[in-house]
Amino acid sequence: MTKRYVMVIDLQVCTGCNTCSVACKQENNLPEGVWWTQVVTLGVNGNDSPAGEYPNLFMDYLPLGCQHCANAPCVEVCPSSATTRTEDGLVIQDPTLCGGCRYCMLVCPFTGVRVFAGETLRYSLPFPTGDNPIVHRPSTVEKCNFCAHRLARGLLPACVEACPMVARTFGDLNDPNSEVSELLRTRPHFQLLVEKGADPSTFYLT
Amino acid sequence: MAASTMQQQSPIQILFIVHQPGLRDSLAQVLGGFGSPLRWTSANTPADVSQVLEAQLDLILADPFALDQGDSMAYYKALRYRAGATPLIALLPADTPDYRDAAVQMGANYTLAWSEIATELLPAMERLLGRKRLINGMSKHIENAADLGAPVGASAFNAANLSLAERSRREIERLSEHLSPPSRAADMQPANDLSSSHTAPVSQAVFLRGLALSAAASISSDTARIIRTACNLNCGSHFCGLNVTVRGGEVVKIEAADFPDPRYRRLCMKGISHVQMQAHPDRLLTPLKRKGKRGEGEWEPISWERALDEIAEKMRALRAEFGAESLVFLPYSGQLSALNGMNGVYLRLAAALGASGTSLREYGIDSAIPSGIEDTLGAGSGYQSNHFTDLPNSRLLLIWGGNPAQSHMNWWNFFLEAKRAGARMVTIDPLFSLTASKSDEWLPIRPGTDLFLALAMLRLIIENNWMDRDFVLRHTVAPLLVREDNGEFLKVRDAYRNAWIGRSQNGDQARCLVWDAEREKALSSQEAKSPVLSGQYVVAGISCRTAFDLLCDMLKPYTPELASTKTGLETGQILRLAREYAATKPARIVTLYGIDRWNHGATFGRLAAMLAAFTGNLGVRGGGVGVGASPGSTLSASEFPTPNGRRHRPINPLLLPEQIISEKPYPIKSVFVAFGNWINQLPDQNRLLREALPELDLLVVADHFMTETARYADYVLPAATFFEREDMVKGPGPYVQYQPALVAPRGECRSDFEIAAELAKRLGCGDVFEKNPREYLAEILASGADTRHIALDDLRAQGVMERRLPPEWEVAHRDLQFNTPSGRVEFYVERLLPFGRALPGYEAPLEAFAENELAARYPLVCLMEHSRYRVHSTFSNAPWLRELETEPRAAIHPSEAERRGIAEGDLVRVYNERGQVVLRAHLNQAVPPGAVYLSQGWQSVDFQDGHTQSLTHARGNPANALGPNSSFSDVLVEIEKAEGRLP
Repeated sequence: MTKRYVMVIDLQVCTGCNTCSVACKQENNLPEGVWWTQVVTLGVNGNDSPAGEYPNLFMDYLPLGCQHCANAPCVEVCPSSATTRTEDGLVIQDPTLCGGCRYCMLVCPFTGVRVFAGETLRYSLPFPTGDNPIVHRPSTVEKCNFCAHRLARGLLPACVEACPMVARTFGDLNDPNSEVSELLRTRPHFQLLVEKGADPSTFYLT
Repeated sequence: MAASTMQQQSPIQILFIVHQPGLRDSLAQVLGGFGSPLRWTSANTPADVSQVLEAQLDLILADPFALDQGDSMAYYKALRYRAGATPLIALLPADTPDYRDAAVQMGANYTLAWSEIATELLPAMERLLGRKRLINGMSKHIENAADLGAPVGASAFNAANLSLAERSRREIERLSEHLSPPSRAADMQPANDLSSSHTAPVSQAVFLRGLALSAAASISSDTARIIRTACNLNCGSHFCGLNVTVRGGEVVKIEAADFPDPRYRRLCMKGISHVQMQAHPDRLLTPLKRKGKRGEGEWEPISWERALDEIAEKMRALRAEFGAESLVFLPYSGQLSALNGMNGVYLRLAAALGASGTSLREYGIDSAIPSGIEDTLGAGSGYQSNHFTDLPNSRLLLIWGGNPAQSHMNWWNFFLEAKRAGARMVTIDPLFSLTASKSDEWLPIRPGTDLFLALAMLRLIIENNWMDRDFVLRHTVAPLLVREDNGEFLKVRDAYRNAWIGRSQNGDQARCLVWDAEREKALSSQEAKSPVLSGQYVVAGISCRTAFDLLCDMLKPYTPELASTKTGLETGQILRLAREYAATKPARIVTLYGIDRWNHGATFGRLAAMLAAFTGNLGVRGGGVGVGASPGSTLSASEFPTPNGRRHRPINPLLLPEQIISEKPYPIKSVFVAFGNWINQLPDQNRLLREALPELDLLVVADHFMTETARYADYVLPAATFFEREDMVKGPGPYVQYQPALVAPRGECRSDFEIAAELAKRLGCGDVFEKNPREYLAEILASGADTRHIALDDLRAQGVMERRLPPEWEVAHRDLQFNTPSGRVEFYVERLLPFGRALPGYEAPLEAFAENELAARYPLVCLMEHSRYRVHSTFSNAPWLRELETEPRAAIHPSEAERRGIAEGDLVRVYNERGQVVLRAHLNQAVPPGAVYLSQGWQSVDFQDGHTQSLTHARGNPANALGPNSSFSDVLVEIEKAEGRLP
């Protein structure tokens, strides 16, 4: 049976600290302004601001990156085959093939999971960080690849590895013995925008 | 979570897709217990289901086998799609993994065996209905993505305020006009106009596409090494183990390192950002000497030899004229390694010179609550409470004035563990903090009124006899007799002037007496078989009352009604809280340092410790009280700073500016700052800059960056980072970790050890640095009872080793021996008689209280928070973190903003009589009306003008056992739009 890699994120424990986001930045040597994952506060006024009225307030965090949809519309529309879906369920964005047309950004139901890298890529350091051999190119679309280069070495994605709250779990949903299968069997969960029919591979435990 | 669902007006609409009538009946029965109105509909055919889906629906409860469908998998996938955000709970006839997996594949949001319905259904429903909020929030986020400050997606769509669909349509039109996407990938050429030198050592030919290729190509085939070290910053969590990848002589990646106890394997976004700090383009690389006036920023690079010679020469001259104590060494907590850290080389140097240095007892910061705990629970216990690893043993966590999920983020897992084990978490905080948002209950108290709540709780616990009477009688001063004439405890020497009772031992004369009901006389507490708690007695002509009675008298006015008026909490909430705290055992009070930043911080510490004592929550697993550090503290590690038993002359940093100005009790002429940002972290910055600094003949700063303190220095010395020199740290928890020098120092940077040793040589005390660092590390290990068994070579090889701590080290006051004058928990403190504060009655804030006249002009309480993206001022220049928190902001409630005509993002001036700061406003419902929240640690370059520390004052409470302490939050300000007011 083929694999279906999924990410399961426990919103009960996520504190929105963005350690995942920074670990991703480091691992993938992301240029300034480019984030492949980031934690969104579902409040009313930007990050770390709750919704409601004092003192009846609530605040939820939602780590948001490419959802690696099973029916990924981005794969369908990419004219240069830069966006592909692997047999394992990874939606891969290859910057060497990306022509920068941004069709994928338009069809993606999840605004904000892709970034269009600017004409000039800026870095604070004169050497690459992390272990992803990716070469970032200006004017291309950037997004999370589920750390395909790490999976190939038997490692977990950098964000999963780094989360200090252990909110993220990654694995094969087609393997009934995997931790992700166990979590989805036993915990209430949801996917985003199911009505769009994309069948995301990111599940949120609630 | 359920609260929002509860508040819904219309009933929750549920669809049953259930065949068996019995199942339907039991569902109906269980749902009858749901806290809000429900309405359910049944559907037995696909056509019925389809019809119901047309209407508003909140939840689907489905037995996947109920509909007679050939391919139920396909049917449910379609249903899932149709139902959209409506959660679906699958009800399975049997509890097998296969059924559950199939249900998940069908799109069920939760799977439930029929047998679990009675217990599991309602909690799952609450969680899943709560997710509607998330989904709505998510849709809103997507709509607003272009407006968000966060950079994600911002560059994709610039047209603000258009719907996503509209933006998409326009974008597609625009793109189709201007872009003709390359039709074939082969047309693409590798870009050769990269603006930086980021060409990874992988050819385009090898890196064809994603997954396949990165596996084959290693970015680091040549020289990458992974080396273990430990972070040594003072963040609140302390000493995460780091696995550092070094490639080409540079730190290129940081990951969490393993520990014997896997719960300690952790790191944070700041720890990762050391990668950017280490090779930061702004690192200081060479010694600098000031040209021009102090603070002008004109520098001349000079050699180490010249810098050290000149500094030593000036110090020698000052020593000759004003004495060695006029030289102050001010190591702060920015580094906490054994040698290169707060309690390390510079205090050793100061001791050898007879110079002054940071007091290890009176920090002037973080010492108010510990002062109160020290008075109550004994000397040396101020910073002690049960270790964080003991949290999961608590059944109730009362988090009072702290935000550990943010400020102690890598201990938060232990709080979560407690929650998972069933502990209830209650947070008391004016701010709807991250911790409050994760708690079971949040009590939004008015800033500065915590004493009223604590006093009322104590009164309720005593009045209702919810107290642990046995503990109170045996372990607190409650039964001790207090003389009515002078307020002191009645001692043996007072009552039996010409005799002695018991065996004659030194100290017997000072023993305190209780009234023994059986023998009807005053006896030492050791002798008394039946001590009384209440009463008035005359002993040797001296009229006495029990300390307990005095306490009860003192507490009388502090009714829950008064507390309610003052705190803004409801009387019922206060009653419930007191009752719950007294009834739930074990319970722990986690204070951290929020209320420490007030004039009454020590009194709060006393009351918190008393609450723990009166409920018997001391010395037990899962109990305890305090700021959270552990027994076997990680900070003051060794005798290294006291060569040959000599000690530096201690100075409370809070009082230092005053001493520089007044020259009392002795003049200070030179200040050497290391591991810290003195001007940034001390209150009342304008006075420090304008009045104290000009009186200094010499200011030297050793640091990695040109901090705002370094900018005022005469000499700036480039210090090595913890990646560049050898050292070790004691912690976290039971561990000790080695820090190897894993890259060469950048530029001409030198370790603080070298800097101190070179200065010592020039100042005639080179002998205290004659050994090399490794020898001193071995000595420190050998001299500690907990580390004596550890050989440095073993530690170097293993990276982390376990200290030998006494059993039950996680529990403070385990032996119930209290190091107070009476040996008991002292809610009545003789030391405080001259201050009129033997009992911890109400003590008003210095400035920030409603009745203060000053509030007419400065009506807002100014509270100073710690951001999770910085450790004090460290990381304020870390680029990744600056993308997440771009600039300082003043957070205020929208109602306060509206009243002043302030909109989100406006530049505002926050000011009072002492100073001002100009920064952007952030409208935030988390902030109570009547307050403004600022974040500490930003530097002057980050503000439009002024500084947060110019608003604060240096008035500390003189009664504190650990010396006066900064009351950063006991401050009033006003805020106004800054337009046209910028200088």
